[in-house]
Amino acid sequence: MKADFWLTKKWLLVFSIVFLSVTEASAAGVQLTDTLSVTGLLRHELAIHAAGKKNPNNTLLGQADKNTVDLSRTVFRTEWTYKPNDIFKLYSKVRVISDQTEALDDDLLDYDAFPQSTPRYGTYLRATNDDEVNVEMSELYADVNLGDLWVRLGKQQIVWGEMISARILDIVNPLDLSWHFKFEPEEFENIRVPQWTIRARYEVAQRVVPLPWLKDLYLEGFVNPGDISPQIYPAPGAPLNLKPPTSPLFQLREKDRRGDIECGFRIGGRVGQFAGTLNYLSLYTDSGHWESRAPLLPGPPSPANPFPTDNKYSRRDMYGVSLNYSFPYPINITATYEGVYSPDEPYQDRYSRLPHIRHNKTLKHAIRFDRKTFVLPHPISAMMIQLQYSQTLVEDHDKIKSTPAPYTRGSNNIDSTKNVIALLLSQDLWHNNIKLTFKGIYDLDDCYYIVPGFKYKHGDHLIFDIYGVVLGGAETRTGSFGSIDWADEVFSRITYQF
Amino acid sequence: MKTAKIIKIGNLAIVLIAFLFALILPGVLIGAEIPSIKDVVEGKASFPTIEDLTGGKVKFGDLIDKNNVDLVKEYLTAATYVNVKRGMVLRIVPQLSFEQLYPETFRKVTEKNRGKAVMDKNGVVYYEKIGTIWPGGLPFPWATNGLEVMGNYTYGRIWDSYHSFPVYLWFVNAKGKLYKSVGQEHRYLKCTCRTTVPPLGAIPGYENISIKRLSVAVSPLEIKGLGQFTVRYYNQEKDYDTGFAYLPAFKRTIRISTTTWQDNIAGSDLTYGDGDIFQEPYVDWDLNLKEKKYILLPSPVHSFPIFDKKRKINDKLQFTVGKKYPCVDWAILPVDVVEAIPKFSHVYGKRVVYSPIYPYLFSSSGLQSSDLYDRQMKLWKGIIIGNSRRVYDGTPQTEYDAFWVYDLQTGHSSLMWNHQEVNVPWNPEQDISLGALLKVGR
Repeated sequence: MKADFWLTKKWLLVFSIVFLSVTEASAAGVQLTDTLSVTGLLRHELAIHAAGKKNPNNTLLGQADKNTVDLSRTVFRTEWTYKPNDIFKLYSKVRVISDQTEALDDDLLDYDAFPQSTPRYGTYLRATNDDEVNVEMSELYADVNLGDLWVRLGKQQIVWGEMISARILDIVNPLDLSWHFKFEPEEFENIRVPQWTIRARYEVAQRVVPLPWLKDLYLEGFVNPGDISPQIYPAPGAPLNLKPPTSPLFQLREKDRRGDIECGFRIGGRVGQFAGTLNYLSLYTDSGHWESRAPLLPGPPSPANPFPTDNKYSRRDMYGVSLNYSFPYPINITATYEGVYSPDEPYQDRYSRLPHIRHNKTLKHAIRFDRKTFVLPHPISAMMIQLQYSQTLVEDHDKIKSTPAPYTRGSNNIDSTKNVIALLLSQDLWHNNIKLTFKGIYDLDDCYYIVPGFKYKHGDHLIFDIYGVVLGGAETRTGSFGSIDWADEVFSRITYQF
Repeated sequence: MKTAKIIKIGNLAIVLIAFLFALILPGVLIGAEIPSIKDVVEGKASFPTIEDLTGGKVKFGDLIDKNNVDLVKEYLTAATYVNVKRGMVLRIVPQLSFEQLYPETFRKVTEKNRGKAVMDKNGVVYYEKIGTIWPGGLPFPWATNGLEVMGNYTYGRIWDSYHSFPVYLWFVNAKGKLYKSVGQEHRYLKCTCRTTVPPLGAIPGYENISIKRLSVAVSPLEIKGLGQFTVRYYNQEKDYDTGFAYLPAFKRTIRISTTTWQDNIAGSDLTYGDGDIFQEPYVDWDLNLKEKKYILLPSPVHSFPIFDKKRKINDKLQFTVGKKYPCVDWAILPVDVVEAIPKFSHVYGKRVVYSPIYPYLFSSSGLQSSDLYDRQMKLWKGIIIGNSRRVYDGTPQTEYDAFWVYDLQTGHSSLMWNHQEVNVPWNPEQDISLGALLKVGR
């Protein structure tokens, strides 16, 4: 255990406890004045490495032994709401985070627990620039309610689409995969990177809709005027580091899109029991693709004479649709379909001798069925059963690859179709004080991701939850569940909410 | 042998004399002073007092507890009787006159439309002919069967809209310990059968909708912003409910099934079908009007308001058995007693619901209490609504402040405290819609 562990954690806990003790916390938060309220939580999360092998990406960086701790992190999160009237609301989410992972495990290399995709990229509103402590205003926005028109301005998350465990239309914000990959039970809520955006929504009054059978019609759009942030990956040496070290043969230059504009528009409504949306998005990729800047060198590359290469974030036009329908009793099933088509999705060119981006037509879509069913003998709480099938279709798959590395069938080959089945079960027990969950995702190419979970709530404030993460399978190509079978873990959280 | 014959003839004579008395003076069967419900609601007799009903054994101001509950047993619902046996205490007070309970406007509309309600075989109420939506008022002031009672409940709501905030749902264990609470907000908008808030009748563009509603959790943080937006249609047999949920943990609005009525709400003792006493479609139930009778229900007037000026539960409110049984005033009310048996496999074997008889109505709901039986027909739960009378610009309303659900088999209870304000001018697109779900979500 490293000496600075207590130094790192102590002030955060002292601050949090003092804050909680001077406030009269209730389940409903703290009403500071008639117009200002605060709610929040204090959480500690601990993840223990459970795989039989260590992270191969860190082995390449020199990690000798398998680490025990994948994550040890304390979060004090407050959500502040100022609402002087029904027209205006100001909201901010402030997070104070202490990460003790590296300090607790001597087998880990030194690494930055709070990396950014580029320095100060995307105006994160961080007050610190520290490897182990982060203080940031992760969300800050104002809502203006002007009758049928509603506007939200500020640093925010925008979530379109309805799918669970899959990002089909939920692609506006990039993700912060740096600290716990996608393992958080809230999926993306804690790891979406909020961006400075203007979002507006207009509810069309039924009396002016020319088609009487069209109900709940609305128009919605957003513009990100330039706060474009790429996905944040774990720093080299982090327990869940997903990338091997970049080859010294390439001199990589970030071609960031800061200052460029992203936007999206959708129209939603309902006809009878069918409800849905039509969507258009103009977005830059969250992950970069390599494009060589120079012609092939005459001699072999070397660290002294590397290939100059750009890491580019390509713009894509994306056309999406979502549709849902609910079947009545006795079927009681809700069916949801969601799809997004991109005519210019970027990939790495398979045949180019130097890194080159190739754009292919790509369709991602999924269908999910939800049903609540009583499975226990005494019919009190029904189990939520969700079954989802998702598919990715790529045109000319034989001309592309997933990484800039030399093409090999076993590592960066892309199939024309990728098929994934997800099963999610959720059973509340004992007046919702206990919740049992199961998430099983199976890629039909033969790899899997399984997460059983248990949550216990004690009264209004305390929550304890524990989850397992099991990854594996014969499919080990880059990006598959089987390729990160070293990331198995057990993680638990204890939370005090107010 | 001879003696036995004399006794038999004597018994026969007594029975015959009693029968003759009953024919001439039917009141003697229940006590000469007790007026019939029909006479009372038609204004031909005065409202009976508890003293009348109990032959002077119980008076106004008396407390009813487990020691003397049998004095009023026949005026209690089955579940309330069990609750009193377990520690609930009732203070008996007089009932208000019906003029003090809800707006006169509603009575005028009811009288204007009296006799014009027709009902199809599924229990959908129309005006004069099938297909013309009911303009408002109570469709069947003197219900003659269970379907008419439920038609009154569904198409004869007094409120045109309401806002319930704050709403506290308490979880109380068998020992009476309050161990958890959930905060909520509810918005309801009646789109048809409107009698008070313009537009009257139906809101243009919403003629096929009965109710739009939006419910959102406001605490604890874990579920803050969890909301539901649902649409209930005028003809529930033709169009089943449409529903959406906003999940703050995922920041997603998803479509949900609104026909899973049997699951519980937020882990409470209340199922979705129990909301507002009996909100699942009654077309799926066999309904039988068992009787019309007087019963004791919480009075709409208390010695202090249940919610204080800051809309917090009044500190003066007392409880027995920990926080299990609030001590409030109770008064006699004439009700229709309807037995409902599900036509399909259900968590309940039977519901018995109690519907106030016109003109003794409350603004809050057309049903005020319920006994729920499990599949083995054992008494399982009891639901009680508690109202508070408030006056807005001289117009009285009896809004529901309390909705208590008691699981009599486990002893657990769920007490919902609900500050209802009726006839709030909700806008159907701005306040109760998919967009509103996003606005109130987290």
